[in-house]
Parts: sequence; C-alpha cells; structure tokens
Amino acid sequence: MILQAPHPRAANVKISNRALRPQSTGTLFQTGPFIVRIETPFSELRERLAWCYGRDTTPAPDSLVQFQIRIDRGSRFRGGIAPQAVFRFENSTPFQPFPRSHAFPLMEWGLNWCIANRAHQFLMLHSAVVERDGRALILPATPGSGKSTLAAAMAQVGWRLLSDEFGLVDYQTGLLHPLPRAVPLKNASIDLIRRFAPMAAIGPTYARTRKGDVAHMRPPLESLRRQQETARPACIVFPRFVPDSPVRLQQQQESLAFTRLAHNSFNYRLLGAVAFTQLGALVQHSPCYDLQYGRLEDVIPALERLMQSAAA
Amino acid sequence: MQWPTENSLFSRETGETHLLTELPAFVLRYLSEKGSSFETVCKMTADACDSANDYNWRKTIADLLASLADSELAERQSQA
Repeated sequence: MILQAPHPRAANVKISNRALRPQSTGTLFQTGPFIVRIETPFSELRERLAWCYGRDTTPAPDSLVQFQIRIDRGSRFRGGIAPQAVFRFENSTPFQPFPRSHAFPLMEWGLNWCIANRAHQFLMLHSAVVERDGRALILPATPGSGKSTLAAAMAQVGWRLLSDEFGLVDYQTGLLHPLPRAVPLKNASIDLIRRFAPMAAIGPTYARTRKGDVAHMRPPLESLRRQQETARPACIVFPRFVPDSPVRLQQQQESLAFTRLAHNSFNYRLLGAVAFTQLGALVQHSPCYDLQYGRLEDVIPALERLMQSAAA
Repeated sequence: MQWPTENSLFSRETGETHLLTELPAFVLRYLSEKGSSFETVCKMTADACDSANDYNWRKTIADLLASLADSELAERQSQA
C-alpha cells in the first residue's frame, strides 16, 4: 500500500522500465495525516481536485504516499455508449463504475473507503468534528442524520472543520487529527447551505448519484492550512436533523453514549481492547448530548452556548 | 468501565463489548476474584442486595449466571 515516490533526481536517469513511470505522475495532495496520489486521464477531475485542495496541501514530491488511487476510463465497449469512470486501488476495483461525469464523487467516496479500511493507526469514529479555541466538538451520527450539513454550516461561521466524516482519534494521546475534505452536501442540503452561507465555495451538482444529488463544499482555507494541528475532545453531541424541529439538547448517559460511539466506529471491533480503553477515556472526559434540530440558525448558537458552558 | 448506573465490559476472549447493569457486573467482579459455587453466589448477592435468599432470588441468579455463560463471560462449573 505504501509507495515511495521516485526521487526528483530520477528525472535525469533513463528508466527502461516503463511500468515505473506512472508513479511520478498524478495529483499529489495532503489530507490531514495522509498523502494521496490520484492518477487519472480525466482533466476535469484533476481540475476539480486542484479547486478543492489547492496548492497549499501539496506535499513534497518525495513524500511517502499512503493511498495511491487511479480513476480510469471504463471499458471501451461501455465507454462508447456512456463514458465511465472506474476506481482502482491496489490492483482492485472495489466499486461498480460511475458515469465519467461523476468521477469526483467517486474519487471522494472511494478515498473514504480506503481510509476506513486501512487507517487503523487511529480509532475512527463515523463523525463530523469541528473545533474552536483548541476544543473539539465531536458530532457522531449515522448517514442521513445531517452531520455533514451541520459541520459545513459551522465551518462557515468561524469553526474550524476537522472533518465531516471521520473522527480520527490518536489512541496514544487521545487527540483528534483533522481530515479536512470536500463536504458532500446531498439533495436539500445543497440549497440549505447556499442560503445559509452564500459565500461558501460549492462546486457543481452531480445529479442522481447513488446518494441522490450531491454537491461538494470546498473545505475552508483555514482548515486546510491547519490540517496538521490536532485538537482536544471537549464535547460529544449526537445530532439528528428533523425538519421544523426546535432545538432539543439532552444530556446523554455515559453508558449509552459509549455504546453508540462503539457501534458508530469504523474499526472498534478490529482494535479491540485498545479501542475500548480509548473510547472509555473519551466519554469520561467529554460530556455527551443527544441533539435534535430543524434549523441551522437555531442549532449553531445552542451548540456555541453548550461549548462555553462545558468549558466553564 | 464503570458508569454511574451501568458498566461496559470488554471480553478479551470474544472481542465483544457488553453493557451490564449493577447485579451482573457485581457477580462478575466477585467471580473474577475467586470462582465460586452457585450457593455461595446466591448468598453473597442476596446479602449485598438486602434480599431474601429464597426460591425467586435463586431463580434470578440462576438465570443471570446462565446468561453470563451464554455470553461467554462466565464458565459453567463442571458437574464432575
């Protein structure tokens, strides 16, 4: 899995083995603790990656690559009818092809899959994480609960986005590592965030993907610049979006919060006793709440008050 | 892991995590310190819970021990 990029001086050396050449190509970018290389013939995908992750996240050329991914053309036969994009990772193609026009969401979902299946140096919570003043608010939730929308909105009003999908807990230190990525807004959330934060950088809408219509919010530059800066967990809130609901914030029993987090983790069972200990410490040191909300304008001030009172 | 009203327990044998109320957690703590007979567990728990060690209590403890054994948190004592 781990590949070493060729040394820059290798450019001056004649390489007879053509198979080595692809290693020196592709788009290299840093996302939190990981370095990713995307190789693709699709120029629009390279442009979208540059728009999203920019030059600030480009690691040194000789950096160690953790995830080497190819987004290829589909077979010529099917490609002749409708151009397709295929996700390849370590000589495998774990997903069915997507339409070529959906290559960017395919790459984003595929990279999430790679991280969830490989990054076991972290306890991985299925969670959004935002931070302010060095204190992290963990928002664990199942898909469709509105955690990405909430994290996207908070990132537009002064919170640092660590992730909309992964709570990466370092089980040596208990600190959270950022993984600022494009936030996939789905269906009604796209216009919701456009209305809530007209200045938010939101890319094109990919219509009728497997998760409905999807548009990606670019992570704020501040989040990308500080993507090596860890944060200490301060509070855990399990959010659930219910249309038109007032904000309902209730303290959660630690035992229940622990169980919910364990179920919600990508690799709790794999890590075993280490995860049990770290999750226990996390719950013991962070107050836990259950949240129901219907409007971003109401829930964000409520969460800000909660974090202030947790700090007091 | 002890919470105010419940306990989370990780089993190294099975890799499972269990959420236990006070009584099973109390019994497991006792059994982990020293294996014991059914009679002793009934008496010890009845004393601790200020309950009569009668038929109903013994049935409660028998069911609890069976449940712990099914979850591989406790071992059934050999009849031999």
